[in-house]
Amino acid sequence: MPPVTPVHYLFLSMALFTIGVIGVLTRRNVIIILISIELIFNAVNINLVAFSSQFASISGQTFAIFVIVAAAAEAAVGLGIIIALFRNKETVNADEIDLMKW
Amino acid sequence: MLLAVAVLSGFVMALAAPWLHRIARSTSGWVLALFPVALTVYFAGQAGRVAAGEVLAVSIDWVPSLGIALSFYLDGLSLLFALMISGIGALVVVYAGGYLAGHAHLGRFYAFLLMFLASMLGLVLANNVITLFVFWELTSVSSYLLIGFEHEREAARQAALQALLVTGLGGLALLAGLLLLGQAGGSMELSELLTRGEAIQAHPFYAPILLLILAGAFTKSAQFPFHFWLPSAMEAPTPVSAYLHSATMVKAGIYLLARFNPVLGGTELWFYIVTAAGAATMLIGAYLALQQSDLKRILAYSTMSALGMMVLLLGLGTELAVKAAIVSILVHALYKGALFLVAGAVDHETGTRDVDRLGGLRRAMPITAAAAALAALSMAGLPPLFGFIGKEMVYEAVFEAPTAVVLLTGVVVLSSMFLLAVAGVAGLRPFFGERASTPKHPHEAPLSLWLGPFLLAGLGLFSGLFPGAAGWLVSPAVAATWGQSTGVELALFHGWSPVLLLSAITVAGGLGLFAGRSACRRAASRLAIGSRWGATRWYELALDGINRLARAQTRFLQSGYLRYYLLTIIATMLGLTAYTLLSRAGLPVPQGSLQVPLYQAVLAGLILLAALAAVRLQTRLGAVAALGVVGYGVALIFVLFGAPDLAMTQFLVETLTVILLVLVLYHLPRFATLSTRRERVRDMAVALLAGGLMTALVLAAAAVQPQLEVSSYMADHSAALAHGRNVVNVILVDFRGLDTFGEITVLAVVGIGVYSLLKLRIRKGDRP
Amino acid sequence: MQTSDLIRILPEIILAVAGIVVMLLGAFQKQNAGRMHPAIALLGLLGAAGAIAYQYPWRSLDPAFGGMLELDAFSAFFHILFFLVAALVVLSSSEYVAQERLASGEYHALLLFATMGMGLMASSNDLIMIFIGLEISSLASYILVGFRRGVATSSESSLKYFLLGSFATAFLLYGIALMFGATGATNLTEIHLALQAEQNTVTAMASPQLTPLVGPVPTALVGLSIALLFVGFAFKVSAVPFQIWTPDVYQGAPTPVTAFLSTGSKAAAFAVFLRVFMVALEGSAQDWVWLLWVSGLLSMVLGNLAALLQTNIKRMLAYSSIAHAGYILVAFTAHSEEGVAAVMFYLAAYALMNIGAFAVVSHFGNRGERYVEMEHYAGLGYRAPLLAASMTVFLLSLIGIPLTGGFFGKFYIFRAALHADLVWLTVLGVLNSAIAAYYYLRVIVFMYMHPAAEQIPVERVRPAMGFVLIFSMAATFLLGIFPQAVLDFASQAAALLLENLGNGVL
Repeated sequence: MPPVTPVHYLFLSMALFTIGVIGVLTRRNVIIILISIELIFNAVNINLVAFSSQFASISGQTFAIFVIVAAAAEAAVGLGIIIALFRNKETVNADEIDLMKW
Repeated sequence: MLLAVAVLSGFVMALAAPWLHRIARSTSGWVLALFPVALTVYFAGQAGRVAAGEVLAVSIDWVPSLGIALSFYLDGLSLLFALMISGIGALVVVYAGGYLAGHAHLGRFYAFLLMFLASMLGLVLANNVITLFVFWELTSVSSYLLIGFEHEREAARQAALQALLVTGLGGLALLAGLLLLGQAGGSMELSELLTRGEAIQAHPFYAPILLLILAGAFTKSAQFPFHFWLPSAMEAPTPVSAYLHSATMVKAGIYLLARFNPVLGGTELWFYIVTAAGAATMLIGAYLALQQSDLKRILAYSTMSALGMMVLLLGLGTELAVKAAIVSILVHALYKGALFLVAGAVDHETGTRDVDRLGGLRRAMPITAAAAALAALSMAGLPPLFGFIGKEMVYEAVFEAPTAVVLLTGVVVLSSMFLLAVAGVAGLRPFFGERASTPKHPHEAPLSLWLGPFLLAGLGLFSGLFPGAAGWLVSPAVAATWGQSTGVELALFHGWSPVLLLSAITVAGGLGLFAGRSACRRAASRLAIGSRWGATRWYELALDGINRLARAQTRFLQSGYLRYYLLTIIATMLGLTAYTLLSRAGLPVPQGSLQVPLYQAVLAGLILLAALAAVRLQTRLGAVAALGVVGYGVALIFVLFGAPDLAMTQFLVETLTVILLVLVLYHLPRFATLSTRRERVRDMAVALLAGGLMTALVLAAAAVQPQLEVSSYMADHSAALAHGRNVVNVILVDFRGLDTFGEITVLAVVGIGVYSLLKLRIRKGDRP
Repeated sequence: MQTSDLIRILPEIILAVAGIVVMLLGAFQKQNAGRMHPAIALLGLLGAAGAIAYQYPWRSLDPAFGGMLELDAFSAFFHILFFLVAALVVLSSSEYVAQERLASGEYHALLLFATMGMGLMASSNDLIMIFIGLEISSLASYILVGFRRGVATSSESSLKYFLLGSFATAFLLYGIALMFGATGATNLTEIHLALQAEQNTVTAMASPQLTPLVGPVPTALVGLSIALLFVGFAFKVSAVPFQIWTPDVYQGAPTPVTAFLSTGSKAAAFAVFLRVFMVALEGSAQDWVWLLWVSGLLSMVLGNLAALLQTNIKRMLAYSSIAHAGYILVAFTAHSEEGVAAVMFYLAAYALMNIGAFAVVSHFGNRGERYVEMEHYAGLGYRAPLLAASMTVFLLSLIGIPLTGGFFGKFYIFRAALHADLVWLTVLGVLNSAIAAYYYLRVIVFMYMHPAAEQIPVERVRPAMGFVLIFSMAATFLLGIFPQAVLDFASQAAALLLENLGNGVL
């Protein structure tokens, strides 16, 4: 194996995390917000696997499997909710979703 | 045990009252009054033992692990209050039966009144401070019900709410103070705490304890600057005012001060705060009382003034002052109870409470007039009434004040002049002079309405003539307040002294004020001190301010827009990260060895590019495809880390997600525009800052930990890891069986959820 | 995996099976099968409660699944609370489900799954398990929130809850990953030991022939991880500044679901919050106590202030639930045994009174939740005495008037805080309850002192709903007059939770 340390992957993970956060904040389409959150889940997985190899512990990898599945489940539920909302309100723009406030 | 029964039976009676009222009908007041009469007899029966220095105590476990017991005890101070509460209570119940005769909700009124009576008894007899607080709150609640009894009127509702808010706020401050006191004193029992005054005064919590308890006492006893609720509370039916605002509720604060005098009193802090508040209240109350024309409001302000005097005396804390305070409590209860009841009777018979429209009622209502005159003379502090003895003692005590004798004497004498004039306005003016025409033609009030004032005023005269009789009640109370037993000698004539001279000056000044009261009132209305600077205005301003603050913060935080909600979360995260970075790691030192093999660097670059594309692309399919690329890239990283099964899972799930997204996107409109440029710059900056800071922090953490270099380790143990690789699936079904079970449930939840959400559409047609 | 392990999760298994049965019934049966669903759900909850009782006494001497699960008194307390909450919600939603024509099978199945997830959260002693429990209950809740058919606000609530919730979960997850990176462990007790020894541990999974990678725990990583975990949990308990979703979600969700979220979910989140911070992170308390202090104070102030302005009762109760989270955080800030017990007691008291209040709101709201404005309650005291009286009891308890459960809850909290020398926080907390009194009283004033503006139909209270009201009222009084038994349970559970820690029992 080449001399790659988990630190590098931490960096990658952090960058992915940051991009996810940017997406969440700057986009108005709820689907893109959902996609951005998926990116953050991916960032977590990179971390978990990197740490797992560092400690020679399988916990991190196992955890990663659950995170993958949970991310998929979230995506499915999220899309269901978005469709339900679209049917009621005819919009998927986050800025038009403000019936309740104050 | 009988003591606990005496307190708690009141609540049972309160429940039974509406029912008894339905049976006894018009005589219900008399029937129900038997209960407080019995209580009075019981307490009077204990007087001998209490006077001998005995203390009755009873304790029932309530919540032992919190140090809360339902414990009561009866000493001189409690006895004085218990007798006033039950004795005047009996008269008020009778009075209410006459005053509210035929009222649709009289039964309910009795229930509230008896509940209040029982709460008040519990308050003055409580030994455990938490029990005391519980009853304190119950008096607030039941007085709220009583003040708001005629809730059809907006003013009554407002007044009830205002009184409850102010006293409730004070009550909570009191709770905090009592909790601290229990902590500092090491006990929740008053009888214990009373012996630990010195330790508590030396405790660092002493100042907060004192301030909090005083906040409780001052709000309840309508002390400046919390006094404004008392005049508004005159919206209550008159029996309520007579009871709550003469003898009981407002005296609860006085009771508290007297009760805690041995524990908290005697310090400079106590002296300055308590004396100053008392003096201010006394003067303001007396001054404002003379400006009023509504009989009940006059009495309310004069009550405020009298309470201020008692507070002032307790603040002085000398032996003479304590004696004077205790005597004043009794004096005031007698004359003010009588005057309130008289005011109610006058209102009842004439239909008005405006003193300017009342006059010459003595022929129509002779007994009421006699009672009123006696009470007014006692209030004015004229011999041979009990009020005179009280006032003489007050003057003596102020004379002996530790400091500021001239100032205090001035305040007290000036206030007494005003009160003398007020006594004339409220007690004598309506009955003497020319007969004025009133909305109703007056007759003598029925027995139930004159009995109370007559007895109370009579007692005032009796105690003045035979002061020794009051002595047996007063001296144990003084002993309990002062902390050690001391002789109290009450006498009408103390010999020629400066005090007597002051009394004479007071009478002269008071008569002058009485004569010039209309001029005084005109001058005052021009100043309009009350409306412009009054505490009511502050109360309104405070409420207004709170409302405005609340509106501003909800507009700001709770805008309803998702992006602001997300921004809040990230901004907080940003702050937390920055804090951790600065407090823990310092600024990161860049690491030199970023030697990464090309294919890994390319992979990482690809992932990041794709991620950027996913969040920036305007085409729908493009964004989804980019997400897929990120997912596959991550899967490749898993392979690099020797977790091919993980990678397989990732491939599968990612593909599934992409397909799902594409399917859904077909049903949805095209992407709308991004947010405006400025918003985008701001959001981007926040996001970059948060991500950048977190990255810096993580790198800094890793930088101080060279052990994280594991490449050689990885190489050495690849065989072992391969073994580990193979066990992942085994682990999933065996060791991590629980997780897997959970995971399956997740999928089940998702399945049903999405199904039922999508089903919404199928049934959408049958929506009503 | 052993039989004893399975017995440990028997309550969860029973709930899952009951959930699946309800769901299948819903799928295969047609009209009029709705009556069966609540019955099966209740049966499942009863069975699960029985499975908990069967394992008495709850001591955590042999944790199940290699230390992932602890069925100690702490988790038993919360299990019982969740089952009670779920049962009351099932009973009180029978009217609602029928009148809004919700899909009964899915509704009850999701409730059961959410309860199961909450149960897992309360007993899990491993961050992985916690994440999974959280996901189960969250995903079910996201869907339940959007369950009102054809109502835009409900979908909007659901979406806001989902997006913000998964965002917060992502943060939480990142925190877990970093904690794993810093200590090499996901088990709470192991994390505790690692932080105490300032050495990372190598988990039980490492093969014996491997030399473990021992190194100092990077404190900055731990600090960041604590911050991220705090974000995740504070979001779930709706503490400031992560409370923002609460009003919008509570307002738009079906009222029984709001009741469930504000009591059950909140309690579950606090259970996890307590376990993670008091067990795993106890050693670095100085890193998080100030966070709790600030967050608790802000929650009380902002929640109460915002509630003052509300005219919609559901939204008002939502804001008040933020304030109540603040009170609970005051006890948490004490981070003592007494503090933990106070949190537990308060959660129990709060659950009962809040479910009661929402039951009234749900019943009175009528079809389509038409009557949820404050002014609709005018004169209710004379037209529906039972409803108004029970609402009054619940509101008084929420204020914290003596002789109700709310009083002892607050009392216990402030006492614990004082014992930890949190004088300022206590005083500010007490003053805050005074602001709170104002808006609760306003409802009472409306019910009893205002004339009714228009004739609003008040439906007859059905037996199930009547039972919920009477039960909650009785329990509220019981906790206010004879709190000793529950107090004892809570303080013993708290003692056990922290005692094992001291002994380093794994």
